[in-house]
Amino acid sequence: MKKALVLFVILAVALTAFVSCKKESKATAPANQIAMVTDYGDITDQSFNQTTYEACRDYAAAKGLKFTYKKPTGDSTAERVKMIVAAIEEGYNIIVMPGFAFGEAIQEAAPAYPDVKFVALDVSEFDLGGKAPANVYSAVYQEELAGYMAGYAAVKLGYTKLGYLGGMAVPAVIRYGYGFVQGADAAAKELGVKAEVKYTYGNQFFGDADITAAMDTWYKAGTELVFACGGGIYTSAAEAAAKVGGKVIGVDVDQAPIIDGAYGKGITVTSAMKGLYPSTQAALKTICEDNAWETLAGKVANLGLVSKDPDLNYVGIPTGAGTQFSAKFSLDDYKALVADMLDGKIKVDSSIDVAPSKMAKNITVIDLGTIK
Amino acid sequence: MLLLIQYTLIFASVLILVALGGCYSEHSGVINLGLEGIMVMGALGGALAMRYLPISIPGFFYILLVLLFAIIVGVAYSALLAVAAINFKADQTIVGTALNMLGTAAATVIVKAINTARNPHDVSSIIQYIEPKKKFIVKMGAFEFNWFMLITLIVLGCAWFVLYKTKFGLRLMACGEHPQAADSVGINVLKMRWAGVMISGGLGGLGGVCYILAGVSEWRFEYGVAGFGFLALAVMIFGQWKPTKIALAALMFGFFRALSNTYFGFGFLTALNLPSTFYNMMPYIISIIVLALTSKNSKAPKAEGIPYDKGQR
Repeated sequence: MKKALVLFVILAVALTAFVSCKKESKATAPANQIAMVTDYGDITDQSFNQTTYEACRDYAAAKGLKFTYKKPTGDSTAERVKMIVAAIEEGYNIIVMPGFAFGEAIQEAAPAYPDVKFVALDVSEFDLGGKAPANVYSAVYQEELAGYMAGYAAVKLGYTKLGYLGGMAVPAVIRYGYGFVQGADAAAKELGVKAEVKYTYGNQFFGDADITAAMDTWYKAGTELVFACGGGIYTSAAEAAAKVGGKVIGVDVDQAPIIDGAYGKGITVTSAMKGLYPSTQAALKTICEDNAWETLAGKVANLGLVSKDPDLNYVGIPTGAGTQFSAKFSLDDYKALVADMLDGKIKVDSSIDVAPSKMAKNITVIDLGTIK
Repeated sequence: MLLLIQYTLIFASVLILVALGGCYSEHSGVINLGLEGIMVMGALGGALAMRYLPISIPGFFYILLVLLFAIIVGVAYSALLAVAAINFKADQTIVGTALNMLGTAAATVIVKAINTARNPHDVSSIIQYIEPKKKFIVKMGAFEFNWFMLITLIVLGCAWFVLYKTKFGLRLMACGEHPQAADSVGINVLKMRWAGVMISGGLGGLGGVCYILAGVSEWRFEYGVAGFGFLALAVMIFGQWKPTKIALAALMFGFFRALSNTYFGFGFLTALNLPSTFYNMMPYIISIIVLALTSKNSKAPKAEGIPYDKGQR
């Protein structure tokens, strides 16, 4: 009992010392200081919060800048604004915020702090109330293009019974999914084959027994490949796929090393990627090194295809070992696809307010709503 | 069909284990709202065991050790409730709620600290157990038998036997019905209540590790156990604090839970085109109806929730 008490006191002292340290370092420095605020996910969500966090952390470490992240205590605009303000009061002058959920928080906080630079990711003009405030830069991604490429590649590679497992039905996740359906649709038409896409959302960004049960049902009913699109939800898809030799498609980053490393070689066919990491770093570089904030301020950049070289684009699928290219769909085929999309020969619908079945003309889309 | 049975059984196993835990605690006179938190801690104990135990240990002993760790951590954690609620006569529902909030948070902090110590860039609260999980599963054709199904059956049998057929069980129940009367015939009420709470801790811990092993090979501890502890409480009440009825209630809850996830494997259910939320709602709707009709003869232990006071009569 005595020991426990002593331990408690030591811990208490240590903790208060830690807290007070943090407060003392409040002194305002003129140098750039980067703070990231998370949306309802955490920096370990294996998805956009984590990628943004890593991009900021790595950039700050490389340039010797001060960096921190803040996690709002609740999922509301008020809580997010509170964290933004807290970071600003601690002296941070660059606030990085991933996720469309920040739309209203930015509208509230940005005008109040005109000297602070707000970098938003995935926040569209619509989320910002029509127009970005003068001290806000936002990057949105054309996820539907990456989804399209993944869906196209999947059908070309010979998979015809597909599934789409989204996380929560937020705009980015929906765009991936609708692009995926359109890509599969186009490839099925070219090849003249029948294909189907089972379409559902898990309503969460992590896998558990419920999602695995649903995925087991899919794979046992003949589904060959599932596009697991939303943070850690791939764990359920990969778990079910590994049991029956099924396949998955990763999302956001090249997930082949993660998934294949954990669940078995060859499970990951490809990944629909968006360049969250490079574009976050590019924005920070523009601000901190080029001192060219004015080129970004007040803009919402729509990042997608910029080059025929797939590796230079902000959306795409891996060109290396992360995609299981074969004679049916080779790297050159992929490059041709990118070129056609860049030229506008292939158009991808980016709307998100229709039913998934509206995205396909040649294949069957089985809309299963949400699992939870 | 097999999938439906498989997931019904595994969900029911979790619920039975945890609800039986709650049943023991409440029969001793202590409301254990902290089951959710206890499950998380038990899951943490089991997951850490799976991370650090050498995989070369033969299956049987490996499983036994993992269970043991989950039980130990669960019991230790439930001791917090016992101390506060039994010895210090604190409000049981508040302590239970505190355990729930603390459980997930503490587990997250602990796992993060361990992960970060191994790799400074790893700030996740994830523990992976892909290989260990395989030891818990036996493939029988298309059916995946999980050893927890058998363990649950054994626990259920023991729980029933101990509660109704042993001196200990009957004394335990007496302490939940009328502790003063029990004390007057020489039963140590505090000891009995401690026993009840610690049994619930052990079973809750088992249920926790069973839950995280039910469908995935890694668990992120900041998500706790997704409300299964509360579901188990509902199962316990629906089961009228009786092991056999708890088992039936858990099977019903498990069945609908599994059905909501696997219904599109059945052509005729898919054709009905009901959203999965409908199946998720079913057990609650049935519970409300049944409880509304039967609440008059509720079998809740009479003295539960009231700290034992020797001077009271």
